Amino acid sequence: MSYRLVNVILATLLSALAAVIAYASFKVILEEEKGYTSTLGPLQRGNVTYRLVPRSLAMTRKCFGELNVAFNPDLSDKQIAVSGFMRLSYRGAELTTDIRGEANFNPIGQLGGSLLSIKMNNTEMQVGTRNINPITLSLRTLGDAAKYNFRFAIPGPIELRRHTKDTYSLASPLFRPLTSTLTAADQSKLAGAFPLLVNDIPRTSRCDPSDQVAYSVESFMASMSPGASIFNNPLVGLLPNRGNQ
Amino acid sequence: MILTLLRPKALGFRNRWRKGGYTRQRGQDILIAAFCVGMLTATYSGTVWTLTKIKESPFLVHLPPSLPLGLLLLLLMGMLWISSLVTAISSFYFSDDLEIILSSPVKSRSVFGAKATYITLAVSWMPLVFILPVLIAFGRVYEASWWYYPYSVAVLLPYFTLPVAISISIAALLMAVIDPRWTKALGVFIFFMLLVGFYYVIDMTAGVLQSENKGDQVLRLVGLLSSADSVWSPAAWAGRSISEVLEPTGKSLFPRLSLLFCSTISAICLAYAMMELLHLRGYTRAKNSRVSGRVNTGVRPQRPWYLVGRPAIALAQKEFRGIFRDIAQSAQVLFLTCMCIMYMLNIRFFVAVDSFPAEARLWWQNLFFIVHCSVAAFFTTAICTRVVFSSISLEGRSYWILQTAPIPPKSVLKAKFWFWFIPVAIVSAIVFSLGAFVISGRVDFVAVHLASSICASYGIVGLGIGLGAYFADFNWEHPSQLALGLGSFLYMLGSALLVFLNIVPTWLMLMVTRGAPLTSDDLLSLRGLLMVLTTIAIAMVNALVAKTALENGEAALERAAR
Repeated sequence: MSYRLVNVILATLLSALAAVIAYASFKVILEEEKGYTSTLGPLQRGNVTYRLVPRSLAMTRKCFGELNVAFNPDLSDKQIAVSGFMRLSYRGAELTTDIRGEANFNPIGQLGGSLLSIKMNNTEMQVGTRNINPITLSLRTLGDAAKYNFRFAIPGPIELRRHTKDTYSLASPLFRPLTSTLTAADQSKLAGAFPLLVNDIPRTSRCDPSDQVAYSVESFMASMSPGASIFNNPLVGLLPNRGNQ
Repeated sequence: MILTLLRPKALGFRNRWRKGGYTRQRGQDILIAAFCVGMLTATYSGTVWTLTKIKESPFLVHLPPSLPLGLLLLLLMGMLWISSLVTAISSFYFSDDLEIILSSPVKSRSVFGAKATYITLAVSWMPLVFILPVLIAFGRVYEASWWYYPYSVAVLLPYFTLPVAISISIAALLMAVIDPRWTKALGVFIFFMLLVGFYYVIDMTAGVLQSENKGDQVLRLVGLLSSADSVWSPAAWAGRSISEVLEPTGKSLFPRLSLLFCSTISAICLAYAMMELLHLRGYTRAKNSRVSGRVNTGVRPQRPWYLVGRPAIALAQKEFRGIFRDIAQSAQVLFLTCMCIMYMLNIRFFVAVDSFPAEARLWWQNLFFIVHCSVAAFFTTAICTRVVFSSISLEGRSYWILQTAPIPPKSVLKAKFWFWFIPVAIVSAIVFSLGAFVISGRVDFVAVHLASSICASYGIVGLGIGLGAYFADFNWEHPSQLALGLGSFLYMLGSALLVFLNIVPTWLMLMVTRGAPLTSDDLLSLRGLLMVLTTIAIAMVNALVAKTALENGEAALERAAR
């Protein structure tokens, strides 16, 4: 074999070997990038009303609340506005919960600030965020209940990502623990075991007063207890419900 | 053996440096060094200022360091590709030393190693000098530890070598397949590309005018910004490897470094294998590519357009043919044309500024303005360094023909100046004004931008021809050497400074009017007056720069003739 041919073969082999290692590294990076930011969603353009239904009453028209999500990605300040209510019962007393919230994104889709207010009788709980990275999260209570005021920093940014023309999702490294601790099968099992269904409904059939029932907080807690270990993660409540969406 | 093969290059560089007048013109050298240090300090300060501004507005936008770093490395990599390909073609196929080296008992891998090292050093020293102050600025703003500095330089090693290795493979393929005599066809291809490009630019501008939904443009802008951080781009691999040290996001460094280094090793080995297989075939083709051109000895009839003077027309014709005489020159013109057209086609992203909230619009407008002007300055200086600055030196060993011709050096420089001023002014006017129009959507803003870009072209082309004559080197082995020397580095710094000086009136206009159309009140205000005076002063500075450079260039050519 000529010297030249040996050189060519050796160089090609070495090139292939290095390419294989490079490819393996690339795969690792791709996997890491995929898992780095997890998404919550989907968010749909326009107004979508969700009906909150206890799973035990899924076959009836009964509901215990309603959540309206208005999302307009075309505005300069992209905005998500949430409003709704929940009828709950706790130790025989009926509580009507009023939910209002707003999240504002900068023109490149990063969450700049948000405020979620949950009002129950004379007590109001407010959860707000400020700044893009790190996000300053504040939590406080107002009204009759004991006063709490917490403030801490969480990693940002939370970003809007477009999937199709009308559907978006929220992406952030903050959501990573959800997907890294739960497999897809776990998530679907969890959604099936969740005692509530979130149905998006046509505007004509909202959660009318005639269909409303008060949902017992105790029964909710009881139905959750078997899977309590899975819910150690405080963010698990943010999981998208895979009910009938 | 590699060092032995590189020794003549190093000695040549040392001798050129000495011959350049280290002993004779010490004062001038100190002045040049001071200018370089000043420009590099300005680059450092500008980067620190920009990064601090970005960090100071966390409520407006969050830009991780990987994004600006990725964008910068992406732009530099574009330039590296062009330089590497051109230098690889010249160095492996047209270099004067090849005949001696190929006929001597030197192993082919030593020849490859020496040539590849030379190309890497030649194409990377200038970007390295530019990027070092930027990296130091990043380190300071993000309060990096001491080991960030040697680490980032180590990351740049494969970043600079990868395009060189791939360019060598492309050069081997190109030269084995394409006949160097097809450069004329390449010229026609560039011309048609320009036509098609301009058609799309006009179409896009019309689209921007009619566009109602700016939301999509914002998303496209996000897409563009993210592309700098794309997982597929080697620039992003390097950028992410460096930025992870500056602002850790929890991503592991090892796979990125491994990808960067292994793909570089793979590309080097592949380039070597291809050169081993295809070099002789390509080299033979390159040697046989002497064009047996037609010799026209007849006297051409006098035509009305000859009013500008027969020597000027003859020089312009010679200059035009010179571009397409050499495949390396044609290739870099082609690459720069492609990059310029691609930028102009994507300029519509800046229309997104309209959809930003009123209170943040000025901030974004300023940011887009800086980005656009930097990119436009980059194109103008890149084009001029490669074609205008080297215009005198490209005469090469045939320069004696010009010396003996009954044309004074002043007329030669003047003819070259006007030949290059017109296309450079047209291209820079289009690039600058199109960006100004898309960012502001205002006629007055575009008009000021147009005027300042033409003024800047006057200064830049004058400076290019003048400095090109001052640093003229007719003993080059291949034309790509000319764009990689000290003179071209100085010219690049000088022309970049000139472009930014020319931007001052438009920037002042942006600040005076704060986004609203210019009114007579604005003009009568103190700041307005300052703007008008600055415009006049800048025009005069350009004229003065061009005049001084041309006079000095002429004097240098006359000195060389004596």
